[in-house]
Amino acid sequence: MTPHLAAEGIRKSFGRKPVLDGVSITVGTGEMMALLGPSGCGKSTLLRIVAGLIPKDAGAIRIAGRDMESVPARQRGVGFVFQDYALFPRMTVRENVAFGLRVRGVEALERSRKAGEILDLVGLSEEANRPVDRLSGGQRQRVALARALAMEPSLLLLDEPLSALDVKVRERLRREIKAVQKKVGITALVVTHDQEEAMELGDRIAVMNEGRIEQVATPREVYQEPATEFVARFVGEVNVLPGQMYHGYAYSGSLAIRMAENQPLRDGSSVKVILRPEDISLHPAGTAEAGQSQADVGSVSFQGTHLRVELATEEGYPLTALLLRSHPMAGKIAEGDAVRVEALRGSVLPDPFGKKEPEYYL
Amino acid sequence: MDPGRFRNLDALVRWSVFAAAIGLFFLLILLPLVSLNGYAVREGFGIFWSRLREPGALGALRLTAAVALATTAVNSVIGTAMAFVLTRYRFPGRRAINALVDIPLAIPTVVTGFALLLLYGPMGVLGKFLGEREIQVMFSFPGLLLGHVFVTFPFMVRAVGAVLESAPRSAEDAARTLGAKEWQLFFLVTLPSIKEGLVAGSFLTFSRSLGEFGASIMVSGNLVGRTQTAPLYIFSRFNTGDVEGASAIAILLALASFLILLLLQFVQTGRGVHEGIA
Ligand SMILES: Nc1ncnc2c1ncn2[C@@H]1O[C@H](COP(=O)(O)OP(=O)(O)OP(=O)(O)O)[C@@H](O)[C@H]1O
Ligand SMILES: [Mg+2]
Repeated sequence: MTPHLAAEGIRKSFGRKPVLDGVSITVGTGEMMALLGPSGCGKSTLLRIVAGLIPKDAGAIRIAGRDMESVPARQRGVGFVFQDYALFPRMTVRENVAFGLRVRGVEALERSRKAGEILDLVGLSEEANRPVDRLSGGQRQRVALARALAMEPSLLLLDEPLSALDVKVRERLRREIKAVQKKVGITALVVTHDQEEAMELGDRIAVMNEGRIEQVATPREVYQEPATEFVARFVGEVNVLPGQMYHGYAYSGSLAIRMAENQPLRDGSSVKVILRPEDISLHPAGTAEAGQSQADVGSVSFQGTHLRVELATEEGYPLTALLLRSHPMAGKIAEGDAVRVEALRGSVLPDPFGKKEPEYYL
Repeated sequence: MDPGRFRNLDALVRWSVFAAAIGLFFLLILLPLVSLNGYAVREGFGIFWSRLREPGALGALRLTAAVALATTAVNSVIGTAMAFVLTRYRFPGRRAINALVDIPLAIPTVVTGFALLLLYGPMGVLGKFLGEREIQVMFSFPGLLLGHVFVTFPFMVRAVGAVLESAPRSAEDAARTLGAKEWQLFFLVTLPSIKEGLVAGSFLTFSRSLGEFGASIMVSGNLVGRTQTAPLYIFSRFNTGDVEGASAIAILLALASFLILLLLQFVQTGRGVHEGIA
């Protein structure tokens, strides 16, 4: 994929407060990149800089290979969907959608035809002549999307496009947005602080924290091989245990996780072991097999598709496990039980400050 | 003690407050207006009309309307510009300037007029400078305009500022990303969104200007038929003992203010209804 958008080393401070601390990110042509991060980490600021709405302190923005340094917002050809939609009140749906064509001097008939086409695409033809103040949240959202697409931008930026909607509508529109994006084939960067949304929308996800990008990868990689502890904790639920490498395994106490062949960590180096709750399997009490650990069940709660089990390992580490309802242990496990814990899969992060485990575990 | 008595006392207090408020309203506000009417037509409508036809009377009304219109026009431009600067820009001294905007409300208008006279009058620094170039500001229309613009300045700034403050700015950003040039953005997005503030500010400015007295008397020279506005005319007539002549103009001025008030109410409730549907 050739990059359509390239941001390099973007820095921005408001007053003395650094908000973007050297952000670099590239989005391939036709790709949808999700920008995921907690509130206040600088996502909107980055988007506004890409669109040319606010100046940056340092770095470069290239769109389709062209440096945007001296290109004003109105000439960047970037469609922007705002968090609050920012529709023009006192205008109809059609007038909103045709605004970009109007200010460019496209004649009325052509404008109307084009707007109609886009409204078809987002399923709003019926509402074309209604004032935007009288639309539902979901309809407004689609007007905002249609308006941004009407001028056929080469890049679409969406700032938390669904955060103002209730859950049901959000999930439906999520699919619609993705479908429209693929159909039009437009390159897109979508901001969200909802990891589920990021995974569904993004071909890749860029995880951001405190003005820095921590990882850019496919949703699967971000989830299964988080690059930092922050990413691990922010995307989904996770257990982080201290551990050490030995003979291709990561050990946390007696609990062992098999590593990929090519992992570069030396034997004896300290690591953080990243275990997803659903990757932990439980077995009835008994003699631990190699790589298993003994644990006590602290609490069990039923959560519909699965059971949530809070454990304490024999080394004293807290551990959360999710058992599918169909798991053989699911019917009989109860608070106070002793069980054996097995890690089905996991990943590690180097932990230069981690303390060495006593040798007898290895 | 009997709690029933308290309740009665309570009711009594409430009733007296109500009666006092209504009574004072009649005494302080309605009664003078009624007496004004009484005087104006005491000797019949014929006298009323003849008083209006006296030299200077209609001229004073016309001048007052012209000054009020011009003041409103000037302030809707510079007041709006000031409101923009105060709400949209962050710069050192912004808070100080923001506080200074209200100064015309605090200074006695006579003092304002006096200050302008000192500055632009024949002996003033600017007055001399302009006088040498054959431009006379004081004792003429420009002087009146200057005084009125100063006195009414805060109204437009505050009315437009309040709307600007509450209007989301992202609509302007949206227009930018859609390719709007700055002037298109102003006329298509910003102006429609501050229309209500402009209307309210204009009404306030206009009606305040209609009744302006203190600054006017200082800067106008009170020249009959030339710089004498309606309030000055009323005062002059009364001073010379012509109560009917003063009343005739006074009643028209009061009527005009009342109509403006009515119009403002109409415009504002009209808007309220519209928003109610939306
Ligand atoms: N115009 C501004 N002036 C001063 N500080 C600002 C400005 N805009 C943003 N900030 C600050 O910069 C930081 C990042 O803001 P930004 O809006 O980019 O966060 P975000 O990641 O989009 O958060 P959210 O998820 O809440 O929208 C915040 O701490 C915010 O307070
Ligand atoms: Mg944001």
